[in-house]
Amino acid sequence: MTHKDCPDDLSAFLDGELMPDRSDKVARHLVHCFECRGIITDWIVIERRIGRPAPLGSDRFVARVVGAIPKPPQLWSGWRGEFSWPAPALALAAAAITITLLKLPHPKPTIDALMLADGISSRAVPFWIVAGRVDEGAYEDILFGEAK
Amino acid sequence: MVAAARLGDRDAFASLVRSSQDLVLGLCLSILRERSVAEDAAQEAFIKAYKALSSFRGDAKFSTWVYRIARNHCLNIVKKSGSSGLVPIDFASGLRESPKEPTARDAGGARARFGARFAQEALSRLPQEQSECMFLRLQGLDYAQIAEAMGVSADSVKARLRRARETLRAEFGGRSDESSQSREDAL
Repeated sequence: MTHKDCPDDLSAFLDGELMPDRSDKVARHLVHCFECRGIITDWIVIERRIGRPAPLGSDRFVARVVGAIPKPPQLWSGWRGEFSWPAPALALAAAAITITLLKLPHPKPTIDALMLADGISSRAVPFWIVAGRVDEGAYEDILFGEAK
Repeated sequence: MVAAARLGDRDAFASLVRSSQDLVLGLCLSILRERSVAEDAAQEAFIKAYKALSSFRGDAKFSTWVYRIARNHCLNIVKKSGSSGLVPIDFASGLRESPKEPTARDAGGARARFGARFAQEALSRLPQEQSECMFLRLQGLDYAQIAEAMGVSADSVKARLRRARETLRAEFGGRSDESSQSREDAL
């Protein structure tokens, strides 16, 4: 490395930002170059005079920032205030209704229900039809007026 | 830590603020000059960062990312205040305020010129992009981090720091008695 090339890398050398091979070249040059050593020494002295940054932060500032973080929106936030009381009551009622419905036995379809679905009153049907003592055709005839 | 803060962990975010507050407060104080105004701006910058955590890619340090947010925020404040960003940024104000105690070596008149105040004023006279590079370097950031914080390449950082140092050295007349002494000691 010549003296002419060196100053471009001196600053990065001082900061430890050169690649190892380049850094070695600068270091070897500095051994013999009084002027470049002088430049680096001046920079070190000046930066010592400028000083290290003062610690400006504090725990108080951290607490202040964290205290100012907006809270995430909460479920049921619309029920707050004077209307807050119905929310739990409604939730309990909804839960009770759901449990009751789940526990009810599923109703089996009855003949009465089937006939009602067809628009026929069960009262008009003789008891032996309900008891199943008639075949399908007879059932239709009876329902629609012609018993066999 | 960032992942936890993103999920709403306030303690994790507090740790992030703690680790980057000096950098951000130093920047805000450098631009806005008044401690209370700088603290307000820094707080707002951190809150902006918190709200934007989902967009933080994680390929940079949190401190350099929030530094960029704070930088833009402060420059907007300066712009809105009507000075159109013409107020020179004083990065020296974010550095040590109390000068180093003079030693026996400092006693001479020529050496007194090299006091902290003189050095910090010289730093403030540098072009803004150079003084900002120096400020970040003195905060301990490496070239990649400075490049990320300022939105420039690492080569630009290298060039700016070299020019800044050359200018500062020229301000001091190129050679100090102390540095001459140091050189003599080294030889």
